Amino acid sequence: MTGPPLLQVQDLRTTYVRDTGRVHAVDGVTFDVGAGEIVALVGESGCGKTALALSLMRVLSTNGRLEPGSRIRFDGLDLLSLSERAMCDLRGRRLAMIFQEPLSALNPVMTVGAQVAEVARLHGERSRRVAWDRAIAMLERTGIAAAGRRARQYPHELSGGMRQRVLIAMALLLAPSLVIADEPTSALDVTVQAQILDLLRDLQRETGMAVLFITHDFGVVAELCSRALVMREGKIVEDAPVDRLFRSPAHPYTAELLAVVPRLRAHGPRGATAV
Amino acid sequence: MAPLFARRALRSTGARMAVGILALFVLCAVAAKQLAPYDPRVQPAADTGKNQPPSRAHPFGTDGASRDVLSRLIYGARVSLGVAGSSVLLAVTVGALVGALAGFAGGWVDAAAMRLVDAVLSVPRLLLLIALVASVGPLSIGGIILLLGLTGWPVTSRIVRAEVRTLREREYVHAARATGVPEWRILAAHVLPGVIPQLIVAATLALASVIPTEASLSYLGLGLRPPTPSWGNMILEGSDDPRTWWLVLFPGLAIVATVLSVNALGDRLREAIDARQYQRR
Repeated sequence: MTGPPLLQVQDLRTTYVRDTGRVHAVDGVTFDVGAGEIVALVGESGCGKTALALSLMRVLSTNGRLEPGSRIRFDGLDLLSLSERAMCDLRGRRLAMIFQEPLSALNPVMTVGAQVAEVARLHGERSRRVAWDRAIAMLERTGIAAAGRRARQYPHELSGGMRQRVLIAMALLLAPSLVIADEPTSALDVTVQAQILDLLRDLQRETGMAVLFITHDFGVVAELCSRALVMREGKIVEDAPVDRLFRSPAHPYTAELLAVVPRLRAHGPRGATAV
Repeated sequence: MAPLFARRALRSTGARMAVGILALFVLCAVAAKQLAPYDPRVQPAADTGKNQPPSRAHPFGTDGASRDVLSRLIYGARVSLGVAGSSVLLAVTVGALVGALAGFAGGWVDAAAMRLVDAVLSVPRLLLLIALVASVGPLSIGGIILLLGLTGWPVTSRIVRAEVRTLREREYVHAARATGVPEWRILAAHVLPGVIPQLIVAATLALASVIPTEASLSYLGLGLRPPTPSWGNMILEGSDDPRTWWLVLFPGLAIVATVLSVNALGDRLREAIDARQYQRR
């Protein structure tokens, strides 16, 4: 790879204010993601994976805060010094996120087509008609049958797999250069998981986007990713190419995680491998 | 979704009756001229005397100025419901704006707005109204609407604020933000539509409280001035003499029926919303 990586994160610290005091959700994290690279971010529940993702997008909830000293460089831009307005322009267009729970990540009182079209409208598409057509084309591309009819339905009228396809359509509509996928398959059943992973891989090959794939499923890591970051209690404890990670984990925690995966083989079957 | 929960609310007999009664009163208000058998302001005829008990010609009797009580009641619906409806519209609009901004912005905006709400709510509403009317003097209909509206918004703003505060932490709001939706549009397009069911309930509650409030003001002689018939000042005019019971009973019943209907409808709507939220989980 030549030139600086697409995303450079340095000493990122995110804290949440709770009734019980300050929680260090992300505690000094440093890593890179190169253009077109698929990097896994693994770790047990509550280790700060989602907080890290929300920090990268700068969409923390009101009680969350990025600590001074944190640095995020994305495509030559210093994300933490950008204005909220500039950040809004970036989100969805260059930098997108796929959320974990497809039902709660969609607005229940808006049709799914309107939600996909909104992304296009927000980023410069003047014509409603064109935005709608683009939304439908993208929904079709993500494998939704009868997309024109489905687009007029509300999230509760769609199956879980279809909702996740809608979220993927929203995230990828404008061909961002980095997509953060926050456990996009963990709310789905196993057969649908496989379909969604195939879809994501196809789309990645088509667009050449970089993906930060948050998961706790080592089967997914083995199949999809070239490199993995292992996170524990807000810190990244290991950053290694996937094959080396499986062969000889450097950190005892990684070894521990791998050990609790039932019957794992280096390129084992997907599914039933959640940590 | 909104029509769905409204439909569920209307499944009960009580709610249907309430809607029927309210529809009847609204019809009276809208078509008072066509429905009233007599002119509410002038004596109907020389042969009918004043303070006549209910009869075939005057089903609800006549008042001290020989006017037909039924006709006055029908015209009174226009005034009473018109004042109540307009002031609730004003109160709910102001309440929704204040509550939405306070709940969404948080911080000092929220604190300032809610302390203002506390201040307004700390004085009993009727007392506040009496003091205000006493200081500004007799009011036109517009003045009454303004006064009732501007003292009625705090409850709505609290309800809206609470709902906005829960909705703004929903995952789809974060997801919208992550696709680049600016803050004002998040509030307008992704948070406020979710508040509408609560707002409808808040409006019915506000309506149920403003009708007797307006009637009380009129009864105290501080509301609408006598030549204009409102249910409240009809009771005032009829309350001198216990023998002319029909002058008080019928407007009283109209107020009771309206308030009960609005309350019943509000309760059904709230239950329907609760059921919806329960199912969503």
